Amino acid sequence: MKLLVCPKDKDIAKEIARGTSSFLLGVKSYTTNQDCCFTVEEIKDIRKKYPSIEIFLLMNKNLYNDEIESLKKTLQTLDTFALQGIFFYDQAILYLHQKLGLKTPLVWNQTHLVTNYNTCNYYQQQGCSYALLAGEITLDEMLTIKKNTSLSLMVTVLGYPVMSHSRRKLLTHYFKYLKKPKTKDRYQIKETMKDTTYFLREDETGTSFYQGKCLNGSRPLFTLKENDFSYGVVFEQSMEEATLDQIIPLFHTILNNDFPKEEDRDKIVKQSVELLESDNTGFFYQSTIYKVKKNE
Amino acid sequence: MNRDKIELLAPAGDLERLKITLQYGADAVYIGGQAYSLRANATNFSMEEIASACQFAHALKKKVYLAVNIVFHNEDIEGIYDYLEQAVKAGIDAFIVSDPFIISYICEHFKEVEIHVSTQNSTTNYESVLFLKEQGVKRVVLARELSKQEIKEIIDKTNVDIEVFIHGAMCTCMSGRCTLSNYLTGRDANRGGCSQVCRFAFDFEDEPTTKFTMATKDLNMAHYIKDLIEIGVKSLKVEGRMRSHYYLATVIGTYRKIIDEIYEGTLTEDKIKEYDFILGRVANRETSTHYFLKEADETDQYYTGRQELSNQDYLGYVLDYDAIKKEVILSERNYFEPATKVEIFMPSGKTITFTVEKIMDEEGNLLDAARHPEQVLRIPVFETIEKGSMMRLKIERNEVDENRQIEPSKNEFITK
Repeated sequence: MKLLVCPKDKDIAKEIARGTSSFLLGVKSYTTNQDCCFTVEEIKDIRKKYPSIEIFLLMNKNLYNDEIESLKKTLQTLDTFALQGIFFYDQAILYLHQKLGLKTPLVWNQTHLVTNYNTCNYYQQQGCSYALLAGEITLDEMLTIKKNTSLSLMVTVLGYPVMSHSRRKLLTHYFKYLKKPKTKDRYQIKETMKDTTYFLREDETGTSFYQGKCLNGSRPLFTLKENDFSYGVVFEQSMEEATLDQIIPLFHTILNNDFPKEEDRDKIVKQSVELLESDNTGFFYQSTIYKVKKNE
Repeated sequence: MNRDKIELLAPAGDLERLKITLQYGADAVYIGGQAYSLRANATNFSMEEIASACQFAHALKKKVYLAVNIVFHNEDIEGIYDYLEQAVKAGIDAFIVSDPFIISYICEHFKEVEIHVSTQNSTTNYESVLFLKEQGVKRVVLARELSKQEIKEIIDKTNVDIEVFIHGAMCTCMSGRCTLSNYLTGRDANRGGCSQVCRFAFDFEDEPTTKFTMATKDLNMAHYIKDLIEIGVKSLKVEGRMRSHYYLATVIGTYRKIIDEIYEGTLTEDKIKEYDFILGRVANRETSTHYFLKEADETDQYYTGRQELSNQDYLGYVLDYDAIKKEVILSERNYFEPATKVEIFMPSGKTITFTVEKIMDEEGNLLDAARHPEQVLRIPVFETIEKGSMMRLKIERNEVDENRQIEPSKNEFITK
């Protein structure tokens, strides 16, 4: 199992120095929820400059009619770059990939929808090679999926989880309502009942909502590794450089070494909690309720 | 104009609502069973009720679509195959699905039933629609974030039946891409537990006085039904499986008239304003057309200070008509008195207006007012009234709607 890092900026050399050799890069005009996006030319240059690294591309936005023609050309160009994979949300990418006979492996990445093994198998039959599992399922569910599919699986293990996306420019609208200037693209909101903070980020694709507390998947990472998951995915966006300098190597340590003793694992997890100031394990150990009874 | 008449598709949270919407003019209804649909909190239909619903609808030459549109987890698959088979046997005309594995299963095993892709799939372009067509899908319910031009281009390039929402509440975020409910309340938005976090108010950094809200106004496409017919949309969908009987009857009845009058060539600007006014009275929020004409902006949203209006126009549900005494027998819903100007609108589309002369209880005793919900009342009306009609306050369109206030109900609720 490897760590697949979606970097917070374009400094690939810095990431390599942290021990990373697999990258997930945003693609300008085709990526949502991420700050750092690369042009096709920049991706080509990175491929040339770092021939031994693995490069996956994140093309996870909803696509609209007027983007389809340029998408076709972009996919054909990218197919010549010897990439390790393309993450897609919109089924247009899958369909064009099939119609154009492209060779780059595909990663089923419908953010919150990758929740069961039957659908993983369906996408495998459609030609996908990987799936990035939803962050809203439990570790047990992930293990069940693993047992029942031969699709290579990825799990997000570090970063600020995206909770939602709107095509609306909600921050711009709010500031227009306030009759005040919007001075940045990222703002915090707080839900007062639980005193919990979230943040919103706006770009040309709309508005994304994120948890305010960093996901710390260090503990489940041990289990994922033991069960032959392919990649633990890291989204560095909004994380501090100083934290990344320590936490990324720590996560590599988990993957590159054996920790048969529980106390050694506990030490690593404790260290990660201190570094991240977060013990947020998301939904790894906590399932959601879906049936709401009348009297609740 | 496309002469193959467009479908009016209504929501129904239970059998009673289904009957009302079909009687008031829906061509088809969409329902949820007691599993696998995105309104876990609605009453929903048992398999026996699904069968009854299909019998009722088919007798009227109308259709029933069953939503099986949750995002499946491993555990949800257990039982789904039997469920689908039973639903087919019950007579449903189409499944509304978002998971492509379920699509492939239905295609393989139940060729006689149509597959409609739920808006949960957030389908936003023609290539995605073509992909779904290749999987065996008959119809796609498009994402609610598309413009008229985008919808038209999809129809022109795919030859797939396209369904769009025309009325009701809107999500702030893209369907399928929202798990705010999971993170903030632990309820799974994509498995029917959505707690509508997009209607919450939040503190906003550096803005101590004004809460951050993101709630949207409701959708109302009454003025653009002709456009949707002309660009080739196949089905017009009304949101609201959990809405009241009165709301459903009013909204479905009104859109029925709009559609029919467009095809008959009799819909005037004045009539559409009247219909829009009626739709406005039954709504509890302001409305907009959202993305249809322009990119959605701040005018499509609500900010702090909004009030949801409590509608007390609905006065009674017609249980029967006593042709001998020429009295309508109705079940009271909201307070009214003699001399109140009212109208009764009927499933056939007919509406009569009159002033209440007197109100009697079931035994014929005179009452000074109707003040008890569900009390059976008799009111003299000289025209025959259809069963299942509804009586509401007659409010003239020229009355200034902006002055509409929330009034406390004058009904006296009896604790049993």
